[in-house]
Amino acid sequence: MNNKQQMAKLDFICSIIIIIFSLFVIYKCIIMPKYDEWGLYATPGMPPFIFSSILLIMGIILLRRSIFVQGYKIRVKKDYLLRLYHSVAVRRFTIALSLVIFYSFLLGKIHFVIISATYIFVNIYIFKGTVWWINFIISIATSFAIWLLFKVIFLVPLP
Amino acid sequence: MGIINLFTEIVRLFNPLNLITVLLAVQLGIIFGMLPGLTATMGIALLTSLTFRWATGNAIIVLIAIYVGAIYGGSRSAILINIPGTPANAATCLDGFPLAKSGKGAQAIGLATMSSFLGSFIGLLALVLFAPILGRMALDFKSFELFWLTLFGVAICGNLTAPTDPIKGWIAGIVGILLSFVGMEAIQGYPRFTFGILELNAGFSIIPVLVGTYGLVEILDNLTIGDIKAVIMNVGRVIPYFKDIIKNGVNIVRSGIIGVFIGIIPGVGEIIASYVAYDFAKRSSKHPEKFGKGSVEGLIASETGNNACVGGALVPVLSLAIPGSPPAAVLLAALWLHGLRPGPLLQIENPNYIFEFSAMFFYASLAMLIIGLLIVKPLLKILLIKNSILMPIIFLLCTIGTFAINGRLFDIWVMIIFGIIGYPMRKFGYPSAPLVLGLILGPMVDENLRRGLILTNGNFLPFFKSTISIILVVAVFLTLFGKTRVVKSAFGLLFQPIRYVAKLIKNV
Repeated sequence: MNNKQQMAKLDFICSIIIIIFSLFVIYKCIIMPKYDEWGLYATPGMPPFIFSSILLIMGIILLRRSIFVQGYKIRVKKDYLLRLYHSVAVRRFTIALSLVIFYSFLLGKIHFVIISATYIFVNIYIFKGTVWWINFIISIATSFAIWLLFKVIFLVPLP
Repeated sequence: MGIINLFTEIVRLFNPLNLITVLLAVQLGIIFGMLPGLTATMGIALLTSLTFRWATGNAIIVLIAIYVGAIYGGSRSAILINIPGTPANAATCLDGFPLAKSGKGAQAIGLATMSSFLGSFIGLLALVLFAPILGRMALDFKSFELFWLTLFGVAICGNLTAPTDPIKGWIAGIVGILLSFVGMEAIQGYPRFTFGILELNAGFSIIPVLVGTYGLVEILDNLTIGDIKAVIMNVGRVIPYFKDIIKNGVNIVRSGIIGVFIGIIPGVGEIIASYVAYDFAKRSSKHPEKFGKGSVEGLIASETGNNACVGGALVPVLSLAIPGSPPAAVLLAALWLHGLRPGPLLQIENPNYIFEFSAMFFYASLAMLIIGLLIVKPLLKILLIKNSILMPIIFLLCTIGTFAINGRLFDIWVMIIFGIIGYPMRKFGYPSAPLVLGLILGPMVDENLRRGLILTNGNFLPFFKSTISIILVVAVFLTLFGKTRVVKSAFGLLFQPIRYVAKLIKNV
């Protein structure tokens, strides 16, 4: 599958998402209150209604364009899913994002230095940045230095 | 008059504290620019939080210095390891790295430094001359003109940042505008699209959005790609030969002017400026075949263009409160955070501020030249730090930077959500700049549209009445439909008589 075909399939999927999103916003705008004393043109739902309608039109244009180049021919095959699962890039991305989300969940619940040092250590360890003891030193030193610089010296609030 | 005010401010700001501050900030900016994966936008966003409690003058001079340093700093990694430190230096790789490979790395760095300084200087002149003029013109803008201006900004940004598929740029821009409608609207105070979440009443704060869209996306991208082994070319004498600069005088001025004008266009930024300047240099060169193989002209053009764009991007920031580039958007947010009100009212409330700001820009450019030529080799070791070590540390700084502005964990989640949205956007060909610009300009679009209609009792005609409105409407129309066959044929027909007359005159 070449890049153009792949982009056409992605455009097909994106256009459907865009159309659903714009229809949702249009619905939300229609049910917003209308203030009679201000007039219909001043209602809070008017500008989002206009722009979501324009977005809907653009979504339809993108959908039409992707259909012309057969972007609707999307078949999710088992070996494609297996390739995706074994893909190094996908794994790295998933791990990086998971660590980011996990770190953000724990922020504010555990002391900043501890959770940040742990985050850096786990990251460098998983992505094989360096040996474990240098990793340990970097994690602790960096987290402590950042805490000292921001919290103590510059009085910037930390989570 | 403007130049005299600029000199007055330069003298007024001349003190040891400011000089040391600007030197350190430019150095930090160069480091940010040098490291692939860190961007000028990210650097300014992080330092906005760090300097939040500082005095306004000190804070803004640091941010300007970071901006100038970062745009220049990316040229070092572009030249020495063929990886642009920031996207703005991508064009520098084309000739910078071949020069380094042929043993002229030091010469290339010296020329890049000098070109960046001269580009900044041209940008500074534009800032001093154009910003007051544009600011005074903007005082005549009413709701109708401001509505069309902001719409034009988003449309042209979408067009230029997605040249092969502008519809994706416009979609990103409109999504940005729709996201800006989240929160309590300004006229009736109704909370739109908040879904009962209290924190959304204030809408999306711009710093978390910028850090998420530009910072977190880069971090995830770099961790996904993995560690790249950097082989740094050797560096000798960096100070450039004066004759090389003189020989390229026309190139420098042309690239500077291109950089400035592209900078003034909302949201477009340094990437486009450097490529367009490079392209023009190639077309005008006597030796276009050398471009891409180590052409000094190409290197000078790209570096002059991207640094001139910095000054150009700050013109609409100060005069219209519309950012000319993503880093300028962060700087605009920083000015608001420090209680300044850039835009047309700046001419009335603080008319001298443009010159004070320009003086800070002057010091930042001078510091960039000094540090750029004097401190090269020690900084190169930083390029050897692996992504797997650097990126988690940068994420930590992004988290602090995002949290520090409002003190809310909610903003960290906004950053993550926009990072999650921004990553596939990048992969699917949707540029981030129109999204961010739409988010910034969306409130202006909303308020001016409704205010205009309230003033005219729902009559749309005044939106098309004044000369400025008509010019802007035509500009929006041409931006959106200018490349369609119908419009091209219509223009062809329109200019047919003129072409016929021109042909007649030529034959006579």
